[in-house]
Amino acid sequence: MTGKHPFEAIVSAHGSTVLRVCRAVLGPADADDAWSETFLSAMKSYPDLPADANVEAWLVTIAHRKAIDVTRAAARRAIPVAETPDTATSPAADDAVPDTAAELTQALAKLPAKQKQAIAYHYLAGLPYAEVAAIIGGSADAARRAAADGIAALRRSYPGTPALKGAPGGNGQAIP
Amino acid sequence: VETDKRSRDLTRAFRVGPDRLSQLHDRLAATAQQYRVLDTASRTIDSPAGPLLIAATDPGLIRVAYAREGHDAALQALADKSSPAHLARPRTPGHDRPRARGVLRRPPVQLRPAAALAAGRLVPPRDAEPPARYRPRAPA
Repeated sequence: MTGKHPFEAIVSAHGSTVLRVCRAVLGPADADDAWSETFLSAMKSYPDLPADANVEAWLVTIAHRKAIDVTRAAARRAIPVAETPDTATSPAADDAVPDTAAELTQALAKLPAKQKQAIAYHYLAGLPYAEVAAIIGGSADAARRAAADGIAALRRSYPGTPALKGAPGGNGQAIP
Repeated sequence: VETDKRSRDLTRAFRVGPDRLSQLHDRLAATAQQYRVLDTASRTIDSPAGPLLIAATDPGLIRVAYAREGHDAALQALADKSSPAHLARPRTPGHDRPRARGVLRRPPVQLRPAAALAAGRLVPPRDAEPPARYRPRAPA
């Protein structure tokens, strides 16, 4: 008796959240590969996962490691070019709001890694700051500050997103 | 309240379409089959008696469930009895080749019967060698 849902149910329940996180942290070009590797790795260890574990935090932790792997691999194979494209690779056609997502992805890509990760894991995955800190390192307060600073930086560089309008962040205090 | 609103708006900005998720699911199922990560696989087929859920593990078919039994309940019972490492077979064709990196680069292996089922073959090839742990033990 495992007391766990079939892995199929885990993919259905958390697949979209993990993909959003991968897109926010890595951008759309590498997000699909990171998603696939996250769930393949998760499926291998899922039978050993305690039944009462926070599955979403566990998946985000795996996605975080895969994102680091992808980023390192991309750095190794990066080829210098004379000009970079003006826009990020857009998500698939069925993923709505492509302009907003592409612009926001570009703005997120400019943030320091910790700020980007804190925003993705807290606002997109819904993890509390203590969980975010356990994943990215440091304290919960530091994770909160990173998210607040990231939101404030996004507000300056990309003010068009409704989510960022009126964001009181920037001093690491005001964002709940 | 502000956090909820910001989460909602960011989630909307990073909206994931159902087709993209379905494609990724199919790719995952195909890759998991290929690299022997699945313990059980299933598919749903149409029959004169209505939709049938068919599930298999290494040795072969382990469960056939009618719709009135509840396919989700049948899969949950299987997860409780054997292993939760289960995926439905790919729902769309054309996702047989893994494209992800890292662990997915390991050389392909021969499909197990469960994988064969998930790939659409209900019966493994006649000359397929059963996995070692299912072969009869030699007398001591």
